Amino acid sequence: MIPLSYYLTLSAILFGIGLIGVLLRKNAIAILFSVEIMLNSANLNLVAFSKYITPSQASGQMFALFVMAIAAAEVAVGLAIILMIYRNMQSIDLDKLNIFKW
Amino acid sequence: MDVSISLVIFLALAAMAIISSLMVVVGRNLFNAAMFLGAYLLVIAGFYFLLSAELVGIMQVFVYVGGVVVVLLFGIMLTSQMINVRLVSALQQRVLTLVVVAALVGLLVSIFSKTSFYYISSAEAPRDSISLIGKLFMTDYVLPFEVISVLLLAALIGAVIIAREEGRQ
Repeated sequence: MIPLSYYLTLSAILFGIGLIGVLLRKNAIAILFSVEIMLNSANLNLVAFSKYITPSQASGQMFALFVMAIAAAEVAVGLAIILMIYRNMQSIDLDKLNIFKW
Repeated sequence: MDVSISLVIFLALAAMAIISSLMVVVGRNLFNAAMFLGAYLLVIAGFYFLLSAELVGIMQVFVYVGGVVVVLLFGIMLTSQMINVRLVSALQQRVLTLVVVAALVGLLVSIFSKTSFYYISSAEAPRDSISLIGKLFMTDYVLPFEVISVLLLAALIGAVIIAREEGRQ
């Protein structure tokens, strides 16, 4: 079997790439993309642990399915918020969203 | 499956996952980034099949590639002025981000390489994992299952109400 640490290392790297995207991109939709990358790398971890630690119980797979459902809800609500921002400000550059700053 | 074959599959999928996620993060064109995100999600589904989690892989293709990517494409088209605008962060911010992320990933990888996982079970995965998951949804995980359905309903209504244009009855 492939060592478990390979899966963990890969998902750490993918999480890091997603984190770079969240911190550096300014476009709100691109940040949603990067959040999806991070969620998927965490899901990969859950499924890998499920296969290696408790193969007969599939508990990690259950968690991965729940994360997937919540991610779908998050995309729907996040996109609605972004559309609202775009309609009000004609821009989705997050650096311009500083009206709460004083 | 033979170890060397599955290792080759793993490494190929890993290379594809890293390349496509990098293209999502650094790509100029938002539309291309969405396509690469779809490729990334398909590669992750391939990992699930490799880990013999068939239901999770199928749901990944249904929910993510079929649903989330399409919804995100709608979002790109509805905010279409922004497709080709490149918004670059300040150099200071870029350097700081890369240092912090590299430190975090390095820390995690060094921990993983030093940990010996005692609890690794050599038991075979059940051949019919889908019916096992179905039973678990209706027994041990029935409360989270119901809560998730209410959450999805709330998100659906909330998204419609937030995105609706005001003042139009």
